[in-house]
Amino acid sequence: MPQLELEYFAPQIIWLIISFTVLWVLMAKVALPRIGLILEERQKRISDNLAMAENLKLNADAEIEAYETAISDGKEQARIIISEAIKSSASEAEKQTQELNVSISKMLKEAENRIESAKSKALENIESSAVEITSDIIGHLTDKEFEETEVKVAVKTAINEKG
Amino acid sequence: MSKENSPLNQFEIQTLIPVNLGSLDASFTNSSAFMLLAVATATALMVLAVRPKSIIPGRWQLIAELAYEFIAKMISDNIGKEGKPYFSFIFAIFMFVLFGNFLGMIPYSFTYTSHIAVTLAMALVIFVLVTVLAFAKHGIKFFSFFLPEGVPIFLAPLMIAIEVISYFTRPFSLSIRLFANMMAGHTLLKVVGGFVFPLGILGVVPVAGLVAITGLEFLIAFLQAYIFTILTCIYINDAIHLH
Repeated sequence: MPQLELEYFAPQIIWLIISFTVLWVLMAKVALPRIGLILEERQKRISDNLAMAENLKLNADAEIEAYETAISDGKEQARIIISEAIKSSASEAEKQTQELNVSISKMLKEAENRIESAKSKALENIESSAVEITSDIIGHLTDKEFEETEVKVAVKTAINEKG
Repeated sequence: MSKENSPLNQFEIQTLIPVNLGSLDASFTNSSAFMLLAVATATALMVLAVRPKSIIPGRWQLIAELAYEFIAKMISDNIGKEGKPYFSFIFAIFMFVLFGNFLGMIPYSFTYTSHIAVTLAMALVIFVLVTVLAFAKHGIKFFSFFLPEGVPIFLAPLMIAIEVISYFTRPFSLSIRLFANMMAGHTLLKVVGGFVFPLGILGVVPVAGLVAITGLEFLIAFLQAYIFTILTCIYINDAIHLH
């Protein structure tokens, strides 16, 4: 078995020491610090980016909240404006109706007054013409002259009796 | 069977450049060449692939980062925060064993992790370092490691004997596990491969078997590197926290 040929132990071990030492130094001084630095940097970059994303998310959340409060504020304001408009238009309508009622009742009263006066005037005309007619009739029928006041009283009583 | 076709031929060490340090033979062999190749490929992966230093990794950088995080997690799971100073050492061990195993999967290449000299040397270094670390951390209290708490006093001699033996066999179990796995796998591949041509048309059967075994060998190549590394972690953990 070639492994047990003792004369080759020394050169193998000497070269093992040389090559392993070279490898160890290269790994310890060059390779491992370099890779460690890269991994560290990457880890830092990842956590930085995560922190930034977290920050942006918080900002976005705040924006969304502001937007939502703005919308709900707007809705609230619109509701107030609408209800005020309804209220003011209702009171306006009330006022106008009242004014209209007042003017209508005034006009009614005026009309009634006019009717009343016309009626009394008409009645007076009827009385005076009745008196005239009566005195004419009496004049034709009886040839007697009556005092005008007498006829007037008689006509009045007659009218009053008839109602 | 001639020596050239022996399944163990692939483990033969060939001296490429003879070097002598005094009486010490430090020849540059095929084993040394593959160790340097492993260092070069591991360095290429871990340094060159990471060159762009980009935040979004490419394919090769992703592999390098996965290796880094794999070992970092292994250490934090098995040792905890105190394991941090040993990160580069454990990582280098993982890379050295892993690339040794994987480069050995290339046909006609050499697998230095299939040599007991290499694995035992690594295991012994780990064993000595861990023991020194344990003494540095705990001083004389380290010996309490050999007597777990809550053991009845009459069992103490037995327990201490078992614990001491299991402690001192650690480097051997660690190194033989790796060496035997790599050697057995490669020998099996070579043996099965030897059946292909003598069987003629029926040679497709061992070829199919070779394909399956090669897949299994890749798994074992990774798994043994993982086991070697995680046991190193566990030994360091024992040294830091005792039981």
